[in-house]
Amino acid sequence: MTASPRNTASPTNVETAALVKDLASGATTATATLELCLDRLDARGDELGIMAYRDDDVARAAAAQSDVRRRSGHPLSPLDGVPIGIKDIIATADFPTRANSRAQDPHPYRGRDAPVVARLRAAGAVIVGKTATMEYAMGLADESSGFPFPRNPWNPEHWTGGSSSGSVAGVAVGMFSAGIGTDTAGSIRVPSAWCGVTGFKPTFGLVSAAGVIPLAESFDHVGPIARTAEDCALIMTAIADRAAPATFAAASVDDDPALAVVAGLRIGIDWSQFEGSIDGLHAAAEEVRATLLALGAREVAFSLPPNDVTHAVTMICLTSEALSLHATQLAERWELYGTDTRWSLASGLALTADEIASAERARHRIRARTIETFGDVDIVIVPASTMTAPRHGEIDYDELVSSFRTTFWNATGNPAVSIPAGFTAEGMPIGLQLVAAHGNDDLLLCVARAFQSVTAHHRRTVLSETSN
Amino acid sequence: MATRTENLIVDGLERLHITIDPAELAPIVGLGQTLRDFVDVVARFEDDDEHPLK
Repeated sequence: MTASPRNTASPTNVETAALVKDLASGATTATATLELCLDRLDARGDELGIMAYRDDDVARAAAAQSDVRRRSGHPLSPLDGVPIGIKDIIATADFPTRANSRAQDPHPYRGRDAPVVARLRAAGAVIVGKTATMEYAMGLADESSGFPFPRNPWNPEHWTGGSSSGSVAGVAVGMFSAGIGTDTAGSIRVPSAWCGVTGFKPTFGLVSAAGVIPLAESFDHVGPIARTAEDCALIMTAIADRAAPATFAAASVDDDPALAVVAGLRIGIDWSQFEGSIDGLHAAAEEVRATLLALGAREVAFSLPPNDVTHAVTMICLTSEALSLHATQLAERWELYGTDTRWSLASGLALTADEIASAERARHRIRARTIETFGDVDIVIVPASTMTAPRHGEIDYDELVSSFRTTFWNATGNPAVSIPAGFTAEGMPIGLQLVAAHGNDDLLLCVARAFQSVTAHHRRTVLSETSN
Repeated sequence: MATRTENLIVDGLERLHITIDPAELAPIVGLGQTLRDFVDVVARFEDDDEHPLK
């Protein structure tokens, strides 16, 4: 007799790898799982500013179709029935895409699914809805914008970080198994670090950014947010471009190949990247280092370029690209943009063509030097941000941006993953970033999975500390 | 007297046919000045043949 939603025990969590097993075994159904997610969204979704758009009937219909496929023995993939949240700058055929902006046409990409969404649907994933972001994936949270205001699930008085705020916070509270985010300067990795989940920025171009409202196309990356590196790898198996391996070893549900991968790897830490960091971050990095060494890695000398040059180069290139993309619409709809967004975009007018070209040359030089560096090291350990999630009302934009250790990797295009690595004395999550050479996405996720297989930071969740 | 940053931004707004409330100019110029400071950092990098990135 096949399982049905009515006689299936309610799931207690929606973490991707566990859910994939439960759906395959019939221990739960897509419908029962979705109902749990919707209950959680009803309970705290508005308070935490998770969703930009929900249509529960559409999601329920997708879950019901998934259950039919499971009952007939023909799931589309292991992810069939897994609930996913999609950042609201990624086009979907059935839901509007508003980028948190009154200036945005709500049906970009000619009303079609972005390829990343189409691939998830082809794998049978259930799209729960569109997750909140900052306006056009830039700037700060604005309580007066009329759009959802992001609050950190660990303490709603704190920000989530941005701009993939809804995708990240929704995963932290089990409102969907995984979120799809975008990352132009750290927008997957910083909020993941600040909300205690795993966020993965793949190698540039590995996941198609077509159908994503661009911020700066040469910096924009699309990637998954989930509880663990294994969960991220499962999502990557569905969404990675065809140039990628058909499956990610880090996604293997039946065995754990990750531990063996670490032996012999060369790891590097540039401690200068931790200068000015909050209490606990240095110790967290020491733990990651010691854990990987205990698993057989060896440490090699390593240093990154000075932050002042790389930060200046990336801010010039990124701002000028963003202005170029928005220039026409800014002229037509200036008043419809939020003030922070239109001011930031217009500030790019202070740059001349020669200066932008000079910064681009410097960027290419830095990227070439970074590729050389990864001939001598396999995995780099760096902060995602030297801060933890700041309190609303106490956010200094310059301090915030200069705390990021993520933007450099958008300029170079290397794969990078933010993993939970501890908590502050106040109970706010601490995250760390691991980085690998271009194309070594699977290796990177295997190393992150290996760390998570022998540590428990990722298992301390908002849900484990509350009744729901 | 208008700064170079302010002149660049005012010229750019005119070129894009963007009309703004004059009160918005100061915050835009402030952000633009930060970018101009970054331009100086990049220029020093370009001129420094001994820089570790080269």
